[in-house]
Amino acid sequence: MTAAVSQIPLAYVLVFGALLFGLGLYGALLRTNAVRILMSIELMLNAVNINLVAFNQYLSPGYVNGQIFSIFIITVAASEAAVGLAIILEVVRRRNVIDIDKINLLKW
Amino acid sequence: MLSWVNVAIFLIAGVVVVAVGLGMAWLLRPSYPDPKKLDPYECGEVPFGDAQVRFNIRYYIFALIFVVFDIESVFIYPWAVLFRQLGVFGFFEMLVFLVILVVGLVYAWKKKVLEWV
Amino acid sequence: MDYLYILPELIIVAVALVLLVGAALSPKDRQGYMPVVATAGFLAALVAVYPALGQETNIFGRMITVDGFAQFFKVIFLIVGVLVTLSSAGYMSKQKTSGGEYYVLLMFAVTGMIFMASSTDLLAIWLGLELVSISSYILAGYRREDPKSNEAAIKYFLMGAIASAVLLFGLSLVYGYTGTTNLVDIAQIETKALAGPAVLGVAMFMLVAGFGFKVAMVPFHMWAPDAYEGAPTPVTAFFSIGPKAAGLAAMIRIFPVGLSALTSKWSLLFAIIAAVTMTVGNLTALSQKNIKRMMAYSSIAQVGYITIGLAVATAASVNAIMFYIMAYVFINAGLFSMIILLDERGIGQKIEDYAGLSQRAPVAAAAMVVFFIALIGIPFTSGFFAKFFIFAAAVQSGFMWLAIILAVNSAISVGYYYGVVKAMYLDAPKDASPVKVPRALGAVLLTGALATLALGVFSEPFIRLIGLASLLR
Repeated sequence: MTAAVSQIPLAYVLVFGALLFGLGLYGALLRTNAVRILMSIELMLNAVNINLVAFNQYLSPGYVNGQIFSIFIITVAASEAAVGLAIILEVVRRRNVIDIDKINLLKW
Repeated sequence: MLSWVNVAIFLIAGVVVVAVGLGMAWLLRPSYPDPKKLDPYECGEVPFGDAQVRFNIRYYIFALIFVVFDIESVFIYPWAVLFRQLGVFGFFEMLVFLVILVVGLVYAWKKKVLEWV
Repeated sequence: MDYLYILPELIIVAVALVLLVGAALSPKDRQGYMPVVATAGFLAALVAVYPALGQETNIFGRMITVDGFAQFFKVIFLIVGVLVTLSSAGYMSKQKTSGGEYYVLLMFAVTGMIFMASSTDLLAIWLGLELVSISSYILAGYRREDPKSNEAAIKYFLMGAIASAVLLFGLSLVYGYTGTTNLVDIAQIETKALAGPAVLGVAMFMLVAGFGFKVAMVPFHMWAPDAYEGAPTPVTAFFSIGPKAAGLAAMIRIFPVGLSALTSKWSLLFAIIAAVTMTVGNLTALSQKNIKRMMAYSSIAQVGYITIGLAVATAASVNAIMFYIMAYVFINAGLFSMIILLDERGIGQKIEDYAGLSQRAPVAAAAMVVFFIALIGIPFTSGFFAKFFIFAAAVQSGFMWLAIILAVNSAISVGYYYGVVKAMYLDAPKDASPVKVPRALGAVLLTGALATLALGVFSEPFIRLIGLASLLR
């Protein structure tokens, strides 16, 4: 661990991660544009990555569990985004709407 | 605390260097205004059309395929670093992983995703 | 060799990859071999489970475990694969979108389910969950030309991805606090060390929310009715048994085993969720007109019953969950084979479309009555023992109030199941022409009905089997 890293307390990094996650969750729950929701979800996943890497670096620097976990999250997030964008694209093509409030054939 | 002073010095030095450079140039250069000079630089080509156009939807498909294959290569890097320790077995394990990716690529290719229609 | 222990999974993935290439190379009208190959793949994987039976070991750096619990669910999930493939073949061959990729996605989803049940590492469990989820999103939107199917896919995807991110944040906190992702190691940390800080409480809530979404517990159930109604009917059948069972299996590994130090906290949480889930599921099901939507709420209610087992968290209740899932898989697979048939023939998805089915297809209608009886929990069917074991486990551990809510809810559920039975037996059909049941669907229907009756009458050997596979002792 380099000197510069050790001077920033773990709590700062975790608060940053939590804020990022909160922002993402806010966007994901309150936006209605499907693509924006997808972007917010990516933000949440990045917050998780920050958490994992920070925990790994500060608490068990000899191991790489957290880093491996975050690599898997990055790859799965990419696949998830690809599938999600494809689904959104299909909906936009058929219905010409991107606003999820207007996608309402199915209810109660 | 000392490291934050370093950061501040870097910040100030960065601003000063840029300001001095631009200021000197502004003082020394001759001024010949021309509307062509305000055009965006596009690698020497004369720009045409508006930058705010809609991209063709086919780009999305390429982009989706690209992102997936691009990001999967992240697994190959740690494997390459430890290649000697992993030995022959590790080599074949990675081969299996790549074969699975190739199957995906073959599927995309046969479904004519890679063609520009 | 670690790979010998995951031979069934390897077989499924290999067959799926071959089918994927096949789907790309062979023309759409010549893909009739797909379901046959997929069924053969599942059956071959079932055979491949046999050599590892009865063994206990950890493989891949303790990420995957080989134990009775894992083997039990492996067999269940492979049977789910066979039943769903058989009931899909006819429906899928009539779709505009070619059927090849459908079986590939189904096989991937089953692989993910197996990994969810046999992992003891948070990373591997999550990877399995994502494999199931991503395949499910695509499956829900498989009828691309149908706006309802599109809508099911986009809703399921957006909500599922949010739930997955919340779950991951919870997992990252658990990792940060314990320094490991291995559930066995987490379980060994002292009770006091784990129960103290609020961080783990927050993490626990996030885990419950993430998994609760996957298995559709109230209040994380909002996606289920829409996804069930919009998805192609065989996919609905799969959703109602596959991912749910896998999610519950993973929850058993995480909560009663991994986070056993926090039992007092999550036990109460699950008890409340169970009570609310049962009640909301059953009451909402009463007013449904579409049978797929009704079955969605019915399955939410079933998850509520099962959640009682999680709240009780004793060896008896975990065994009861295993029996419940085994019974439920056969009931729903059988029931959905008829819903698929009526949808495929264009007769409809509404409950009123079932009018006079007893005259049009007498055997099938009788089988459906058996399934409804089992879902209610009347004796001589598997559903009775399933509910009885949960009930008994709850009473033994002092959750009398949950047991009473379970009984009341079972009574409420008679209301909507009777609606379908009444339509089938008492209402006059609009069109009295007989409905012929094709061989594959008939096989699923018969398997389901026989298993339901067998588990209800000769349950002894199965109970002994579950005792052998039990995770808690």
